[in-house]
Amino acid sequence: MKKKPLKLQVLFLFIFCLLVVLFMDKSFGFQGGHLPVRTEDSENPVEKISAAPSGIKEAMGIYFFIAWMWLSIFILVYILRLKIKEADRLFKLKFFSSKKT
Amino acid sequence: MTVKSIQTWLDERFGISNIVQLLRDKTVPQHKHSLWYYSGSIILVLFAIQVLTGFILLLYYKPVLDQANESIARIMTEVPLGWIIRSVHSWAASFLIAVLFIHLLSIWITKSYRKPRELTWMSGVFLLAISLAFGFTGYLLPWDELSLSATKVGTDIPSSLPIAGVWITRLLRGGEDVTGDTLTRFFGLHVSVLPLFIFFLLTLHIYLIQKHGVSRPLVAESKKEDLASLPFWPNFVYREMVVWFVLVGVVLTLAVFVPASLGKQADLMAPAPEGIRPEWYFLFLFQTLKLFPPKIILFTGDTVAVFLILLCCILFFFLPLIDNKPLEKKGKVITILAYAFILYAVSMTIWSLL
Repeated sequence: MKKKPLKLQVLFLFIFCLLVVLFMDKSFGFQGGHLPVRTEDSENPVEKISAAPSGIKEAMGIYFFIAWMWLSIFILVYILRLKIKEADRLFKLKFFSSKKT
Repeated sequence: MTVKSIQTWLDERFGISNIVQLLRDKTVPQHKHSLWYYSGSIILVLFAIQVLTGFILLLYYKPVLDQANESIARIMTEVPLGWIIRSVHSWAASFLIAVLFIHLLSIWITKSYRKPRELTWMSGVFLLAISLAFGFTGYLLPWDELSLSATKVGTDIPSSLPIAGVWITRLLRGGEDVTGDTLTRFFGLHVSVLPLFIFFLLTLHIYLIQKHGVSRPLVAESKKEDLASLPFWPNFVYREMVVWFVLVGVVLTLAVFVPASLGKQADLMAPAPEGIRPEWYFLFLFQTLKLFPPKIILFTGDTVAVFLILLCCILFFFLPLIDNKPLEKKGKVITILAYAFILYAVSMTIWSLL
């Protein structure tokens, strides 16, 4: 039981490393969208479309949603930790053993 | 009608309680390498995200030469939250490929592909190949300058092969050069042919995992010793759900704060822009191709390079048949080769960036 927090830490580290690698991908411009910006020509003035919220209202809505989502994730993870403990306890008691049903 | 009565009604018809009991009886071993077991379900979650976001993008995307780039621009500027959907699709694709590589490398290092899991490995390699094909075909769909040039380079690679090489390139492009026909072909492959293959292979892969059970460390398998294990449902699934929630959060956050943008519409007559690079997961191959000289004895450098890469792919696919040692053998050479591959791929990718 003592090893569980360590496992979770390793998982988070794993996700973090992935993010670092993938962030490099985006920030160093491998994606089609991240082109080096050139001078505009008269025929086609649109060089690059950056993805962004369309207005301050949408931006605030999205940032609020992200904050709410992370709060929900933390709560869900906390609940799941409790559920894991309970499921492990029931497993040790052989509560769901197939012989029982 | 109460919830209980609905459950009973469904159970009588679908036998849900039997399925739940089956999942409870299925166990997942617990040991120092258990961490790798999570990568399989992460791939499934990312695949589900891809299907969902891909379907939404499909509603607005137009795979026609003069409308492809414009339709993506419309998704990003006019469709409500369209830019987030596209960004999630782009980020989840990168995560998917990264986790697929990690998943296969973990199996390679732990040698879980050995008897009786040879076909599980082979179907997994096929799944990686199809995922890479998804990435390659999807890269052209925005139809911007960089995606056009990268596709020209990518589809030109098979042409260096003798006999069928030029034919393969023509088949991929739908002609001599990358045009609107290529876009239509790539779109067709991306949304119909490849999903069909991946669905079939995923079903086969999951069936084989159910059939042979989750692999255990070689020492435990060879001695047939009992390891501490957890029921798949609900103990292991709860643990996996923690990872899924965090993963979805990370993908969404990245999609918002580091969104995928769109380049200028591709012009078939324009010269190739500077800094042509494929997606990050092809960079090590891209750099490898650059290393070869123009001529090696009687053959061109590209031909030799493509042959060598193909040979490595074939060896990778048939790894369980090459390393068919008994379970108690550690197979140090195979482990060293796996680490050498990681080192090579990472260093080549970094070199390509510099």
